[in-house]
Amino acid sequence: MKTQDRINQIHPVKLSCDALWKVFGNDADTLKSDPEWQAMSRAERSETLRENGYIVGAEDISFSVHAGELFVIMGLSGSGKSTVLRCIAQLQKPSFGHVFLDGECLDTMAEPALRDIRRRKMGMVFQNFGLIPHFTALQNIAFPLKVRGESKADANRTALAMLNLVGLDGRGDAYPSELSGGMQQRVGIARSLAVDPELWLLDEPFSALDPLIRRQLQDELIALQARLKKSIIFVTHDFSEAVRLADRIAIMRDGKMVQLGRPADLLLNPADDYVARFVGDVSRLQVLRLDDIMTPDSKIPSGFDKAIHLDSQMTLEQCLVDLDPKQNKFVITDEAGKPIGHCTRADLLRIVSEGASP
Amino acid sequence: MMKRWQVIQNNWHNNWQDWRQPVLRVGGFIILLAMLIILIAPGQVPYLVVEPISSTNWFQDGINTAIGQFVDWAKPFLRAVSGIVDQSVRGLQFGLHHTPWFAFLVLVTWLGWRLSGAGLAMLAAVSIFYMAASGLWLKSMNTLAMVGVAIPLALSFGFLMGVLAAKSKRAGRIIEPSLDLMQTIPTFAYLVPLIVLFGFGPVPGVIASMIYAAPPITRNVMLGLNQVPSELKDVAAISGTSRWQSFAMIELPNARQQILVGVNQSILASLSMVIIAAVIGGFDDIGREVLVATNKGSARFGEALSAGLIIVLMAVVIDRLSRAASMTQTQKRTPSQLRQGLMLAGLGVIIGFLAPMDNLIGTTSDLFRVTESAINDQLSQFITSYGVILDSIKNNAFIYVLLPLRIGLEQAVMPMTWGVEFTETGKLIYQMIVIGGFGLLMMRRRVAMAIFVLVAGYIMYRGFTGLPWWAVTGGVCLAALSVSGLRLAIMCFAMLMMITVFGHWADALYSLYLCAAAVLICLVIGCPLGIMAAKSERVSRVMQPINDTLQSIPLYIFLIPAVALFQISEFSALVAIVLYAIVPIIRYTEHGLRSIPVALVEASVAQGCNAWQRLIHIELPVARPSILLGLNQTVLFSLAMLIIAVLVGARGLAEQVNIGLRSGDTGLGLTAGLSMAFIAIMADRILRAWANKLGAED
Repeated sequence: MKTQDRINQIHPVKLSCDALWKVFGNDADTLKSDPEWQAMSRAERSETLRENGYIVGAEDISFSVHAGELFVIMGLSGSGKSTVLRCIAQLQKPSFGHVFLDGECLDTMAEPALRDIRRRKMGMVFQNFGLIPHFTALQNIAFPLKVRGESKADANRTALAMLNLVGLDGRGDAYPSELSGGMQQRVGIARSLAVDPELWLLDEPFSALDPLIRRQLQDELIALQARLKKSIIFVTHDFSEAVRLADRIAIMRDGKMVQLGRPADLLLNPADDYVARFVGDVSRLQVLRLDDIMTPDSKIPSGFDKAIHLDSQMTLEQCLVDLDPKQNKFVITDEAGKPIGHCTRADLLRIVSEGASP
Repeated sequence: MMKRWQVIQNNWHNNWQDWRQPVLRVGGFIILLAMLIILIAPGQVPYLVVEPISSTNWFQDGINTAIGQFVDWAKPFLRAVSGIVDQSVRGLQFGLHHTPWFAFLVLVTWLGWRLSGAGLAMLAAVSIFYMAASGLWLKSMNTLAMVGVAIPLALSFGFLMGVLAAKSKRAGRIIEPSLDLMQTIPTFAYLVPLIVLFGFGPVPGVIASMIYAAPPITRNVMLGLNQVPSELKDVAAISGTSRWQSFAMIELPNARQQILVGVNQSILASLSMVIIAAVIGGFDDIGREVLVATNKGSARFGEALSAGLIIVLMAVVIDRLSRAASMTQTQKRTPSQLRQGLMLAGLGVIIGFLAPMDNLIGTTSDLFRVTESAINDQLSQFITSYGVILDSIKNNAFIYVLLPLRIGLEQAVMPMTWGVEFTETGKLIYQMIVIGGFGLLMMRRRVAMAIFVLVAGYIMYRGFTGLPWWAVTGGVCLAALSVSGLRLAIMCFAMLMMITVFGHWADALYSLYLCAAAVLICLVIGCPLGIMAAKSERVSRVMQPINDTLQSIPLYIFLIPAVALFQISEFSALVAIVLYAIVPIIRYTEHGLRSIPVALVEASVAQGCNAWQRLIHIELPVARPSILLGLNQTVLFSLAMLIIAVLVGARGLAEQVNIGLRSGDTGLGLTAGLSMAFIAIMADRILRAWANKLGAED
C-alpha cells in the first residue's frame, strides 16, 4: 500500500465537498426547488444550464480532505478552482450540494454559528494578499483575534509570535504599502494562522509574486506544514507548484474536476490530454518517489539478495544521482526498514524516458 | 421553464429593436410635417397651435390644501424641530458674537497652519481680518452660525442615507433618484414649503441647506463603500466579523478618503445654500447684505462688492481648511501640540478683549466706507461715460437675439425694433429658404442637418414661445428614444405631462428660451475658448485660474457685476447665467481635444492635413462625446443660475418659484420648482445618453 493512502486511512476526513455546484445567473438559486431540474441527470443539468446562458463555475465537485493533508486544486484561470475554494469558505454559497467541516454542514449553517467556525477553525490567504491598508502589519495579524473579542494585549502577543513565525520580526509597525510583495504575503500568512485554524485555505497565495520569492515561500510553506500539520486546501494555476506541495491534486477544467490523485498518479496515468499537457512540463525525476514505481512485494525476491535497500520516499533523482553505477537492483523499504517492493535500474530509466518523450 | 422565460425576453427585445426605427421615422415625420404646416399657414390650423391646458391651478391648489392640513396636523412636531434648530443657531450666534474677532483670527490661523502651512494661515488671517475690518463682522458671524448648524445636520443626514443606500439595494433604489431631485430642484423651490412648515427666520434656510448639502456626502459615501475591494470584504468575512465589525473596522476606514471628498463638497454646498436662503430674510446675515446692496444697482456697487468678497473669502477658506483636513492622514496629536494650540487661542482671546483692537476696527471700517463710496463713484462715472455703449450692447442683444428667440422674427421684426417691416414677401422668402434647405438636405440624405435647419428655422420664425406643446413633447420623447430607449422616452413623456398638469407649460417654454439663449452664447464663446486653450499652453494657463474662480464663487456674486452694468433686466440675467455656465463647456472642450490619442493626430498629419482640416475632420468629431458632456454641464449650470437670476429680472418658471416664495404659495413654488427640476433631469439624461452613444460608436 502506498504511503499516502495509508496516511489517509489513519487520519480522519476533515473537510468534504458533496456534489457541489456553483451556478452564476439571475435566478440560479430558484432552480433548487424546480421539479423539472431535480429530475435531471448531471449531464442534462450541465447542458440545460449552459444552453440557457448560465455560467457554471463549479459542476458536481466531490472530494474529501483528510486532517493534516495538503490538498491542491489546480486549474487554469476560469476553470472554477477559486469558485470551489470560495464555496468551501462560504464566501459564496454553493448553488447545490454541501460542504462539511468536521461533519458539520457549513452551507446550511446559521450566520452566527458560521461566524464562530470562521473565528476558530478557518484561516485564509488571498492572491492579492488582502491586507487592510489602514492597519499596520501587526494590526493586520491581530485583526481576526480582535474580531473574536480577545483583549488587545493578548491579540498583540499572539500577533507578535506569528510575525516571528513568518520571519518578519521588527516589521510589525510597517504599513502594507511599505512592505514588498513577498513580505506582504508573509503578513497575510501570519494573519491567516493567527487564530490557529484547523482548516487553512490558500487562494493562489504565491501567484502575484516573482519566481524567486515564490520558490522561497513554497519552501517555507513546506517547512511550516511539517511543523503545524494543518488541513490545507491550496489553489494554484501552476502545475509545478502543485506537484511540489501537494499530497493530492485535483485538476479542474471548465468547472469540472478532471482528475484527482497523488502527483505521481497524475504523472504516470494522466486522465486525458489536458492533464497530460501539464504533466509534460514537470520533471519526473523530482516528483516520482520509489514507492510510485516499485513492484510491490513484501518478500525479497530471488536475485535481489545483494541488492541495496532504499527508502521508499526517495525521489528518482536522489536515487539516480547518489547511486553506484554498478548497482542494478534495488529493494524498497518503508521507514521501519521493512521491504515493501523492488525495482531495477532499467525500470527507473524506462519511467524517466517515458516522461521525457510523451 | 427557464427556456420559456428566456425566449419571451429575447422576443420582446428583438421586437422592440425592430420597432424602434419605424417609430422614430414615422413620429419624426409627423412632427416635422405639422411644423411645416404651421410655418407656412398657421392661420389654417389653429387647433395645432393651442396650449395644452390653459393654465389650471387645481394641482397647485391641491398641494396648498394638503400642506395646510399637514401643518395643522403636525404643528407640535414642526414647532419642536423649528425650536431646536432655532435655538441651536441662536446659541451659536451668541457664542460667535461674543468671541472677539482677534481670538477667532488667531484660532483659525493656527488651524490653517497646523493643517496645511504658512500659505493657508496667511489666507485665513487676511480673510478674517477683512471680515472684521469691513464692518460686516456680526453679519458674517450670523451666516457662520447658520452654516455651523447646517453642516453637521447635512453631514449626518447625508452620511446615514449613503450608508443605507450602499447597504440595502431597496433603499438605494429609493435614495438614488431622490438625490437627483434634491440637487436639481432649484434651490429657491426648497424654501417655499419649508417657510410654510417652519416659518420665517433662520430655520428654513438651515433645513434647506441640510437637504441641499446632503447629496454630495451621500454619493461619496456610497461610492466609497462600494469601492471597498471585494478581497477586503472576504478578509473580513473569513475572519468572522459581524456586520458591524466589518463596517466599522474595514469598510468605513477604507472609504475614508472618498467620504472626505464628499464632506468638503457638502460643506461648500451648505454654505452656498445658506447664502441663497437670505432671500427669506429675518436673519441679518451676509447673504442678505449682498442681496439688498445688489438690488440697489450701481448706486451701491461698492457695498455689494465688499460683502460679496466676504462670501467668496469664507467659501475659499472653508474649502481649503476642510480639504487640508482631509489630506492629513490620521496623525496622533501629541499633547504638546494641543497645548500649544490652546495657549495660542488663549492668547488671542486675551488680546482680543483689549480695547485697542476694536478701535482699530472702527477706524478701518470707516476706511472701508470711504473706499466703497469711491468705488461707487468710479462706477457711476464709468456708467455715465460708457452708458451709451452699455445700453447699445444691451439693446442690440435684446432686439436682435433675445426677442427673435423668444417670440420669433415674425413678431420681433417691426419698424420700432429693427427699423424695417417684415413684409409678406419677406416672410414668404424666409419660408422658402427654410423649406428649400430642408428639402435639399433631405434629398441628400443628411437627415440630422435637415431636421436642424427646419427646427432652427421654425424657432427663429415663431420663437420658443411659439413652439406647439405636442412638437416639444414629441420631439423630446423621440430624441430620448433615439439616444437611449423606451424607458427614457417614457420618463420624459411623464415629466412633460406633469409640467402640463401643473399648469406651467407657458412658463416652462419661457425658461427654456432663456436657458437656450444662454447655452447658445456659452457655446459660441466657450467652444472657441476651449479650442484655443487646447492648442496653446499659454492660453490654458491664463484660463485655468479664471475658470477655477468662476466655479468656486457662490452663484449670488455673479449678479453683482451684471446688475451694476446693465441694471435689472433680462439681459443682466442672461449675463449672470453665461458667466456661470460657460466654464464647463470651455473645460470639457479643452479636455476632449487634449485627450485625443497622439497616434490619431500623427496619422492625420502624415496624411497631409493642415491644422484647420485636422480640427474639423479629426479632432472635433473625436472630442464630441466630451464636448457634449460639457454642454450637459452648461445646461445644468444655466438652469441652476436661472433661479438665482430671477432676482435681477429673469422670468418664466423661476419667476413663478419666486412669486410662490414671496407670497407663501407652496403649490405654485413647488410645482414650478419641480418643473425646473424635470427640465434639468431630462436635459441631463438625454445629453448624457447621447454622449455615451457617440462615445460607444467611436
